[in-house]
Amino acid sequence: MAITFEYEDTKYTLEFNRNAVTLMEKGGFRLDQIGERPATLIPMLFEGAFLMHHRRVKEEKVHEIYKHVEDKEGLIVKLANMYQETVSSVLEEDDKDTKKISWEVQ
Amino acid sequence: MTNSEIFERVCPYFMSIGVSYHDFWFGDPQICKYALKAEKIRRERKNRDAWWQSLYMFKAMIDASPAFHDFGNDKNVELKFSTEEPFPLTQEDADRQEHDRELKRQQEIINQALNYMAAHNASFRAKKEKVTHDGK
Repeated sequence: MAITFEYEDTKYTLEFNRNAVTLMEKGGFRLDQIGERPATLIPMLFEGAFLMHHRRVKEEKVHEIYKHVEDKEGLIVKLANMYQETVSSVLEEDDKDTKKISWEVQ
Repeated sequence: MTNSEIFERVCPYFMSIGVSYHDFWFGDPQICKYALKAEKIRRERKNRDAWWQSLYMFKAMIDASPAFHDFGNDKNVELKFSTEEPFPLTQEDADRQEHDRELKRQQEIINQALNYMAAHNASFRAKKEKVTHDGK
């Protein structure tokens, strides 16, 4: 799963790999603390998404791109899910132990 | 434990099941998900192969058994292979096998009931025909 867009005639693909996650954590990023420190961690999450395919893009450029992004909230939620998937992909699926919650439409 | 530490810890395992170092750290994260599924299939195949081998061994021992008369006193001893399917490797496999066995048991009960009903109907029909015949 990746997010793609074009900015100033350059195509960008935002995605995470395990190396990117490791580098982000070394830089102080913690997904579970994003609600407590959104001002610091949200920009870090966006910057981290460039590490896999666009490592050479400068920080200023990333900030400039972020300013022009529409639906920032939706993008951050998507990026957070992608980050989480990168982590969970090394864990074996075990649906047996997961308690299922049934739901209905009223 | 941080995610980086988890990755450090599981990387050797993924390398042991065929994911390269480069793919693990720099490739598509989904690679590991599919590697785990592939490993599960490999384990199941290996288990089934071992089970097949045990069947061949069992058959070979049965074939060789006439050479050893001590157990059977020259009579044919009826031996049965007790493991009808490979041992389950996971709880999920064990549950599935138990479910299949339960279905088989239920089907046997249904078949017995149907046979009983068919026999009962046949006997009832025969009695009825006899009464009709005698009544004429």
